[in-house]
Amino acid sequence: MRKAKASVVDFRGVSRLLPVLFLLTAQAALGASPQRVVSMNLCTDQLAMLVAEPGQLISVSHLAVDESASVMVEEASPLIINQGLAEQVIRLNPDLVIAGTYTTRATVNLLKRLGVKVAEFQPAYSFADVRSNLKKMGELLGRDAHSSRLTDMFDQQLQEAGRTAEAIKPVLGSYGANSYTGGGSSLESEIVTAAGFTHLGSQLQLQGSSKLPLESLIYANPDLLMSWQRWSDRQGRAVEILQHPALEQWFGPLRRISVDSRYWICGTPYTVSAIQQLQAAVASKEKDDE
Amino acid sequence: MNRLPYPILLSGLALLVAVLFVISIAIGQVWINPASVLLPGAHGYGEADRLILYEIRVPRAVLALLIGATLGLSGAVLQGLLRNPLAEPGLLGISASASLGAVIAIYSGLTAIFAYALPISALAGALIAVLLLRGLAGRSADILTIILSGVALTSLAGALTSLALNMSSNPFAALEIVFWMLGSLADRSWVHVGMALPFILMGMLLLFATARALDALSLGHDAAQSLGVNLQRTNTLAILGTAISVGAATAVSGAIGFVGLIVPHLLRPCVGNKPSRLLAVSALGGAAFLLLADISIRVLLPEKDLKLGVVTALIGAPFFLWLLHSVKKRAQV
Repeated sequence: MRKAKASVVDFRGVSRLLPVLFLLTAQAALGASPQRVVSMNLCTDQLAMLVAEPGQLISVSHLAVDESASVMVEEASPLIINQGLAEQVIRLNPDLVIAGTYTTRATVNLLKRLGVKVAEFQPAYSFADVRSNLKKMGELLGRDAHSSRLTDMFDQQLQEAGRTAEAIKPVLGSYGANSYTGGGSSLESEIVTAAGFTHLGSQLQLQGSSKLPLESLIYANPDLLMSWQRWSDRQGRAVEILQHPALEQWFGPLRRISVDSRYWICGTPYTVSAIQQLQAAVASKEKDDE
Repeated sequence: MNRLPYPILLSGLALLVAVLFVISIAIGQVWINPASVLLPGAHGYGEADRLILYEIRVPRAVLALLIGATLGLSGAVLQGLLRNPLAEPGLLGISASASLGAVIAIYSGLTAIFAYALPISALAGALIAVLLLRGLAGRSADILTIILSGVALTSLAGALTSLALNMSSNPFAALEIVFWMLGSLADRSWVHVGMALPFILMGMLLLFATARALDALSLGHDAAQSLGVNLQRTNTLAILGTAISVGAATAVSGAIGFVGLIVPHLLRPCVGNKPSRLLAVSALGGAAFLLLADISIRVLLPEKDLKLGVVTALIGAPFFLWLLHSVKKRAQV
């Protein structure tokens, strides 16, 4: 019994050994950077597409081509699309798999058991996380120089976006499907703060994404209420709350802001666009008011 | 046993409903005294309190009252019609099928074209469930056949609801499964009241019209027929009435179980063996019960958005087991 099992493993090992050996020699020549990289998470997809050299990244997750979630649909569409299933990923014969720490856990564990090299990324909760994720991606893909250029650009743009922030900081809260609002120490709070506002979730000392009943939201009374463009206009009980008459009466159209959710989901250099878009959206409301 | 006179019982229950209604609009994230907001020249309350009271709490309490009344009444009618003490829209799968109808209407985009598609689709779901039950269980079926058909129907409707929500392209849809299966009145608005009210009233009217026939039916099928009761008509009234009222209620609140089971049973000893008298008291009792359940979730776990169906099932399921036990014992005697 045991012998049979061992021989299966051996067979697998041998069948993989040849390409691995070949790759090892190839990698040694190229400074050991992986050449068949598969990403299985929307956020690592986008980071990898930004950092990788052409041809290095062969597959990204299906969310990378979802127009409601991804900012890089165009870049992703020529690549192979995976659903984050072990079978699919193995067939691609990757020398590096990149995953998020919270998604596709079962697949990641299975891939590791099968001996595939898997790198895991924490979601970015802050701009500092964006920098460290960029650095990590650069090291993994052997593109340190490119990733530090991206980081420098990101920092510069952040600084420029922050410069336009005004002295008076109005309170801005987010309100999404199923009455959820973003808490403090999150990417959302950092974006909102960088754009020159006081973040409602941080002010209320909420931890993580939290349910905020409509009554509490009205009592908290933020100056501006931000909702996500995508999905909010769809039918469904989850987003019905965004059309509640009490919400419309209390905040009215001038205090409600709609932003493009794609830029808020993942911490990438594109996060700067979230800041700029938020500032522009508020500015256009102020113009309407005059 | 000394029974309360019927008019006193009715007015007592009506008073209870009124008191619970007022408590229900006073309770929430903060206590608002309704009188001081409604009366002119009141102090201490701002614009936010007024808005929250009128636009959030009053519609919620109105819905609890209407839906509780619907469920209590339809439970009483179904128990009388099927001569089955365990009959109830939740247990029989009528609420779950209405949920399925509502979900299909929302995610097929029908509600975007026509707002009343929601209650109409839900009541179509409920109607199919009632007709299936009548067909499956037949006329003289025993208690357990009907209940088991209801169990099967509930599972099927629940599975199809999950399927429909999982297939939706909206990422938040899957999170709604809990709502449609356990029900909630949190943050509903006047829009929902306006949508459900006409159907609930119409359905209740049809259900009340069965009163005289139910009295005759309590003497048995043949006796009822010899008394000149048109059974076909009674059947149609009860089926349509249940489908329309429970369908519309479920469309705005999700499936809420056990109200129609508990309330008629608790009140039956107060009115004696007269099904017609049970109808009005069950409607009032159901309203009081659901208002109380909705108050309790806001008092016990204000931050957690506990689903209404959780509370009604926590009370209702043990009651159901006890009832099943006593029905079995009675059958053995």
